[in-house]
Amino acid sequence: MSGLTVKRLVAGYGGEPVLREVDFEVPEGGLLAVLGPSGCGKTTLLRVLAGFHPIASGEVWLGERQLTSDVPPERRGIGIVPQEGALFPHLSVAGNVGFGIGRGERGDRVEELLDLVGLGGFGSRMPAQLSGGQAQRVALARALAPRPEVVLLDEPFSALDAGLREELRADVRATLKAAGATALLVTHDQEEALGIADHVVVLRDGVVAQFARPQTIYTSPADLGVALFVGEAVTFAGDARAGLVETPLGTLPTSGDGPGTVLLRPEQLILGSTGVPSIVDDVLFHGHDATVLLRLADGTRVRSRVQGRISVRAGDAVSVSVDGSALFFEGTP
Amino acid sequence: MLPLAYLAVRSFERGGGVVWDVLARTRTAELALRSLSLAVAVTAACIVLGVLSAWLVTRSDLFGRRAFGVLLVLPLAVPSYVAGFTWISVAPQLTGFAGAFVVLTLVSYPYVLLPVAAALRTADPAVEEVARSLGRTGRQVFLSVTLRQVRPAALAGGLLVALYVLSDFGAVSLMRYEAFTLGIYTSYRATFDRTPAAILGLVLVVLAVALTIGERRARGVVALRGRRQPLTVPLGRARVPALAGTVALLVLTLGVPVVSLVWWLVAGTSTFEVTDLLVTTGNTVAVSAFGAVLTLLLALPVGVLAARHQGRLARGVELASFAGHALPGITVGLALVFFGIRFAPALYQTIPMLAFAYAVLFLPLAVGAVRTGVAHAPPVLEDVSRSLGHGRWRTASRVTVPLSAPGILAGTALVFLTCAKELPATLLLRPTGVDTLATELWTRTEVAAYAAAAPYAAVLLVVAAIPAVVLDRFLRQDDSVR
Amino acid sequence: MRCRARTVTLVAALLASTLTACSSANDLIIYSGRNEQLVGALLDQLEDAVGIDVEVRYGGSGEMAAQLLEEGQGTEADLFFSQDAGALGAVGAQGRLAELPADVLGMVPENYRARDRRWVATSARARVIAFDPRVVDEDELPGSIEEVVDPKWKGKVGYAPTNASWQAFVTSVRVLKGEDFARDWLRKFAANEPKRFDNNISILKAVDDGRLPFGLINHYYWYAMVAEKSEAGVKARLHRSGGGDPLSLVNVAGVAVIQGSNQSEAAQKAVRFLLSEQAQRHFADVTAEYPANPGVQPGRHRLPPITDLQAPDIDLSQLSSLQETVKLLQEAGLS
Repeated sequence: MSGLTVKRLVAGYGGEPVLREVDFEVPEGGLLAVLGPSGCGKTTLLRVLAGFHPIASGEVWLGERQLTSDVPPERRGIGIVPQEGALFPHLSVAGNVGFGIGRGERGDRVEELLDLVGLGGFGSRMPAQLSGGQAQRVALARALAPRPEVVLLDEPFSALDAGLREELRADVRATLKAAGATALLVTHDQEEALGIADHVVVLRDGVVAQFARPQTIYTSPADLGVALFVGEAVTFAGDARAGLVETPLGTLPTSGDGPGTVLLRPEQLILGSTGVPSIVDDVLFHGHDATVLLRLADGTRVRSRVQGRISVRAGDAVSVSVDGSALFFEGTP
Repeated sequence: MLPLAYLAVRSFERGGGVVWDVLARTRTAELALRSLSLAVAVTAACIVLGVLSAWLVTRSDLFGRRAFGVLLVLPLAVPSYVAGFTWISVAPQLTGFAGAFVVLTLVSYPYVLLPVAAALRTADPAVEEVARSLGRTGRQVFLSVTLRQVRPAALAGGLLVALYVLSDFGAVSLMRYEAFTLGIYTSYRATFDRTPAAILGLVLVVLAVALTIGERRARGVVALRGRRQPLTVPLGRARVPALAGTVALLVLTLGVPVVSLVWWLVAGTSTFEVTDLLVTTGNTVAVSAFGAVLTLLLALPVGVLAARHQGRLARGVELASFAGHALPGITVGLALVFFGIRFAPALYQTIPMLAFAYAVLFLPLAVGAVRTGVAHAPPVLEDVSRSLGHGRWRTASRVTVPLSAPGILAGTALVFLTCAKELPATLLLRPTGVDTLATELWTRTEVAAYAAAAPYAAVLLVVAAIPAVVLDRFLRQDDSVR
Repeated sequence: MRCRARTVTLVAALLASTLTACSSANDLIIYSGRNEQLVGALLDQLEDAVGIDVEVRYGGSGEMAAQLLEEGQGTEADLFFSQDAGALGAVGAQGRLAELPADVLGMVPENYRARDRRWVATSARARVIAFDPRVVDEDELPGSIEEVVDPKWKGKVGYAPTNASWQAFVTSVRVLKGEDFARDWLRKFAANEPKRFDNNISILKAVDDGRLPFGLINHYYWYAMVAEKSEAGVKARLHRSGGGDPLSLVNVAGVAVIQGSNQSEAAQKAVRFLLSEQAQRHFADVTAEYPANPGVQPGRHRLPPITDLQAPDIDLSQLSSLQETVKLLQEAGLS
């Protein structure tokens, strides 16, 4: 296993570059998420790394080995887990997992991997008999079987329902860590990216907007766009001076200076008996938490995320206070 | 492309003036019109019959629909000249346009039935359910949604029918309908002149290209593939008429030739040699199998190209492959005589050369099947295979080919049975002294020795029927794999 | 994959070798436009006569002529056995036929060999009128083509427009009487509403069944019907007009040696054999054709001798000028 380094990578279709000077690296054994809206170039990046799409300029390194466009997919040692698994429909689960490994080694290794993904004993099933989550686990086992240096996962959880998604996400992370694999996962789901990866690349219009740890991405987004993309936000226009900014929720500590946009995360808005008075418009219940939609006295609408038991209902009057400092960006959303 | 080059050489060997003379004859335009009107009529009838019968055997609760599914494909095994002479003996007054229309429709509607049945089996039933939920009646859904879903398949089948009608000589000559091919044959048989025949051949190629482009324009979007088995539609009061109609179709398509053959076999006084029949059957199977395999090998790259790329090259190659299908066997046969004797004398009048002629003639049948087959092997699976360390060839052999196998085998079966029926090119290119069932049948029917011909016709029916059954089976198997 | 490809090639080679091993340059190769059912047995006897292996390739005469012309000098054929003189003439016109020795040509009457000495007739068939004696007396029947188009026969004459024998007959009218006469005659013939048939057999059947007063056919169909049903069982009778009128046209099947044949000696032996008593007897007895060799008497069918037919005097090679005939037929709407 070795790390993956991408330097000033440019690639595209015809004359139109889709990736424009992309830089990032994944340390050996690390798990990187590439996060971006559709059309940002994530899929192209994946295809370039796997060897299905040529590099226009820039470099891709796998440890000490440079992967030029001449290295065909089968010589790269890079496994892929496509969307919805893409299992070979004509092969059994064991046949799928054993597809990339030599005959001699096959039996033990297949069992070992099926155990690793929690599907021991499923070897003789056909893909059509599997659920979506099981198919994804088989696809992961199949990709890991030949001990690739890197595994690429393309939106691996997008087709699954929420509960399963959460569970599988944790399992996949654990499996990748247990296998010691270097992995790169592309997704448009910020929760997924932030929840699973060691590092996140936010890709926007073919350019890396930010490359950092998930927590950093969330708490210190590089710009307003990243901030809005990686989580829900409450924003106001404001003018920051000497570490403070005036907002409808009061004067808040912040880092910027001059006119711009003040950004708060909904969980920073605390409902209680102190703060700015407001009326509850509606409550959106999520199970583990809830979003409370509020209207301030001046008519401004904001949202608060509340953990635990919810005691308010539409029409109630509550006061809103802010926990912590506000993010401040130049420009308007 | 070889036949086209040959036609160009032969057409212009006496200068453009001759070409113009032949083209300017009112007779040429008249024959073209007669052939086109026959092709249009037969194609329309085949689309109606093919779509209705395909729907009955895939979607309705028709009594015995599985058995009918197999039986309705079998008319493919009946050569047009066999259908022609059995019909003449049953209904001598049936001649001309009506006769050619009936015979050609009855032998070629399975070209529509097969792809439409496959499309109906795989089409997404959700679309129809949505239409029902929006207040459409069953009949309206069939007309507005189901028909639209099968349109690409029906048109693709219809194109094959149209090209086949243009190229057919057996049925039109027996039914005394003066079609374009008659002009071509007259040129060889009566005037021993290859130039007008070649020019007329070029006209056929132009017609074929126009039809192919027209079909492509009209093909539209391929239907969504569903994940569920489509629902069975109860026929209700239409049960009995539907069953009667299906049985009637079978009587007309299979009953007439089979009963005639049996009658001749029983009534005939001529004896035949069993060993001779066995050797001839063996030859037919060997030649057709070789032809089918070679056609398939040539169709694979074309079909893959057509399925995976939408480029101009892919379209051009596919178009060229269709041109050969509209040419009568004699034209393609002579083209290969011309090139074979000059450039491959060692192969001339050998089985490989004959197989190659079959490939030129029947490539479109295989290309269509390969294209459909390859569509069942999404490119992402090939990507996965390569990322797991398999090169292009291993990926092709372990992933693409096995997944496309049902479609590819169906195409091979179709080409096999068509090769077994082929006559004019076989006569020209077979190794001297090698007889096939079709040539033996021809030898006997030419001197009106129908009783002596009957055993050969019967065996030919059986030989061609086996792949027809295989064809149907694979289409079903494909269904269950999904 | 590679291994599989090799297997395919191997199978192909095997097939090719087993199925083509039978023909080689040392054999006499005959392209026969005559049907195997009619001449197969005869050609089987040929092997003894020529002393080497004989391979026969069957097909239609017109298609075989086209094939021989396409093959050109590369052809493996040594002998072309044709159903009609026209196909022989077409191949000869392109210089693809070798001259025959005088003694071979001398075995048949002058009318029954090519003037350029490149083919010789093996048997002959005559145009006749098949009539229904229950409907018309033989005396009333037309004795010339002019009488055929008499309005009294309106709707009563059968013909087979797509048949080569009909086209050869019309060609002979053109060649013997001139283009203008032929055009005029065809116009009158068409105006007389003749009955169209698919082939000679169906004309004869219609006459025999009483559905048609008379029709223009080749003679041997009647003899075949008689052989099958006995003379008493056949109602239709034949009428020979004679007098050198095109109605009594005699056309031939013939044979020629291919130019540049590497078996020309054996090929000439084969031609001699086809004109020999043994072969000529076959034509007379089996196919009910007139033997081309006048020394051989018509056999069991009791055909009149070929010299008594009073056929029109015509160069049979000219029957290959069918292109103009087809044009005339098209103009008259008879094709």
